Amino acid sequence: MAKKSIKKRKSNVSIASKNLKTNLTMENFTILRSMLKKNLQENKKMEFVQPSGTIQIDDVNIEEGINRINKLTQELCDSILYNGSAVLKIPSRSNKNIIYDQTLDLLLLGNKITSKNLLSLISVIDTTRLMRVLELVYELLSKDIHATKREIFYGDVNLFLDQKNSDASIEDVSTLLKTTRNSTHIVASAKGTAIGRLRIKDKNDIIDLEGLGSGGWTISPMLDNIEILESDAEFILVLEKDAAMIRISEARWWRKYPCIILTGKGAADMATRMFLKRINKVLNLPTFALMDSDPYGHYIYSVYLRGSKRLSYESPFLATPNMHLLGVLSKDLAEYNIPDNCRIPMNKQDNKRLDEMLNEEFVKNNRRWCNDLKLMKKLKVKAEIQALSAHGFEFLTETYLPNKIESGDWI
Amino acid sequence: MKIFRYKERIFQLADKTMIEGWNAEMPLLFIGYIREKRMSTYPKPVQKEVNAYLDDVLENSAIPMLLTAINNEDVEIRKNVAKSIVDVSENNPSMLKIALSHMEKASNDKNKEVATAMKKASKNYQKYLKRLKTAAKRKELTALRKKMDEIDTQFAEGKISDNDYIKEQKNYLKLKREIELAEEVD
Repeated sequence: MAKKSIKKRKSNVSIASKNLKTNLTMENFTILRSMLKKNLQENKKMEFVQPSGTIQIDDVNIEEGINRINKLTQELCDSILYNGSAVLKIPSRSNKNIIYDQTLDLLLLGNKITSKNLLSLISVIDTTRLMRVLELVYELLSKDIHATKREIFYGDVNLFLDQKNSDASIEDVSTLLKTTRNSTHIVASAKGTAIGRLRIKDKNDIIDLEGLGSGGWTISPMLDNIEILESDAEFILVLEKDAAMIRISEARWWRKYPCIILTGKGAADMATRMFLKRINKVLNLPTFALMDSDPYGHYIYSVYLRGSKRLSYESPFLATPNMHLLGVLSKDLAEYNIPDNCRIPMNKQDNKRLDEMLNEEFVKNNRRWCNDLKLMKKLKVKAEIQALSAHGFEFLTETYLPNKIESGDWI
Repeated sequence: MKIFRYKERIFQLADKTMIEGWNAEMPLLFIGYIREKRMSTYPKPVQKEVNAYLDDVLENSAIPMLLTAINNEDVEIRKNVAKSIVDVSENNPSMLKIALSHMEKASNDKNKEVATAMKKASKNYQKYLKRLKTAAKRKELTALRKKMDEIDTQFAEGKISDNDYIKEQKNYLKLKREIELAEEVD
C-alpha cells in the first residue's frame, strides 16, 4: 500500500475528482446493453421519407445508372434538335440551398436549380467538363469498374486543368443524375480503417476484421462490393485519430469489450462515413464517437452525425444520426483531471469554428452538446484524446472509455 | 440480420434476404466459413441454433441458388459461376464439400468452357483432399521416426532381432516413400 501511494505521488497526477471504477466488464455496461436491446427490438427499419422542398437522391445499381445517363443525353439531344439549344438543370450545391431537417436530423439539399446552357460561352467550359465526366462515368458503369477522383482528373488533364474542377464536375454529375457518388463508380482513395468483431465479404473474399493485425482493414471505397456477413459486436466506436486507434488496437480492446472500431484519420472520407452508416443500420448497434476536445473534433463528429454541407445531397446515405459523442468532452477535462500542461489555449481559428458550431441549428437543439461547447468557450482551452495518457498510456483503454460507457456519460 | 442471443450476448449473421442477393457461390462460402472458423467461438446453445439456421440456408437458399446458376440457360451466367467456383477451389477448397455433387453434374455441361472449369474445380478439390491425406501421413511419419529412434537404440543394444528391426524399418521407409511420391505428383 505504502509503495502504491508513493507511486501515485511520483506520477504527480490525481484522478480524484471522479470516482473511477477499475476492471469494468461488459456486464457492467447495463445502460449500453439496454440501449442495444432496444435498438434490436425496434430493428429500426424506418422508411426514409424525403422532406418536401429537398432533392431526392438514390443509391442506384449499374443498370439504373446507365439508364439515367441515357435518358439525360437523349433529352439533351432532343432539346438541341428541336430548340437549337440545351440547358442542364443542376441542383444547386451552394450554402443557401442546404437545409437542416429537424425531423430527420440531417443536412439535405434543397430544390433550387442552377441552369447551365450547353451552348453558351459563359458556361461552355463547365458543361464540357461535366459532359466529359458523364462520358467517363458511362464507361466505368458499362465495364463495372471503379476509378478514383484522381484518375478522372488525369483522364483529361488539359480539359480539367486542376483537380478542383474535375471534383466539382463529379459532384455535379452525381446531383444531375440524382444518385450517390458511389453509384457513379467514382471513388476517393482509401483512407479510413476498421478493426474488431466483424466479418465482411468483399466480392468473394471473406475478411475477418479481427484477424488483420494491429493495422486493421482499410475501408474500401468500393463499398458496393462489401456485404456484412457476421458480427458479435455490441457497439461501435468511432475514433477521430489514428493515434487512438493504435492504442486501442495494441490493447486488443475489442476482445474484452466486443465492438467494432473505426477511424477516418481526421475528417472522415465518404467511404468511412458510408461504411459506418452501413454497419450502424444493418447491425443496429449503439454507436459512439471519441474525438479531440476541440471545436474541430466536434465538427468532425457533426459531419458523421448529420453529413457535411458540401455533400448534403448524399446525407441520407452518409450520416449516422443516432451516434453519440462519448468524449473527450470539455467537462471531462475537469472530471478526469487533465493536467494544465496538456490543455492548449484556443486560437482565433478555434474560436471562429466554435462560434460557427454554436450557431448551428442542430447544436442549438441538443442542450447537452450546446452546454459542452459553451463550457469550451468559457474555459478557452482544448485538449487532444492523447492528453488522457497523462495518467498513463493504458488510461484511455482501461479507465476512461470503460467508465464513460458504464456511466452512460455521452451526448 | 438473423440474431442469435445467449444470456446478454448477441450474434448476428446475414439473413436469408441478404444471402439471396449474393452471387450464386457465395452462400456456400459463407456456410463453410461460419462452420469452420466461427462456430467454435459461439456458446454451445448458440452453436446448435446457428447450425440449424445454416442447414436451412444450405437447403433453401445456397443449393437452389447454385443449381439455378449452374443450370441457367444464359451461358454467361454459367460461365461466371464456374469461374467463381474455380477461384474457390483454388483458394478455399474445403468450402466446396457441399457443392461436390452439383459440380460433378456441371462438368458435363454442353458449354466446353463451363465443363472444363468445373472439371478443373473438381480436380483442385481432389488435390486438396490428397494434400490433407499427405499431411496426416506426415504426422504419422513424425511419430514413427520417434519410434524408430528408440528401435535403433534397442537394436544396437541387441534387444531386438534382425527380422523385427527390418520389419519396422521397412514400414517406416514405405510410409516415407508414399509421402515423397504423393508430393512429387502434386
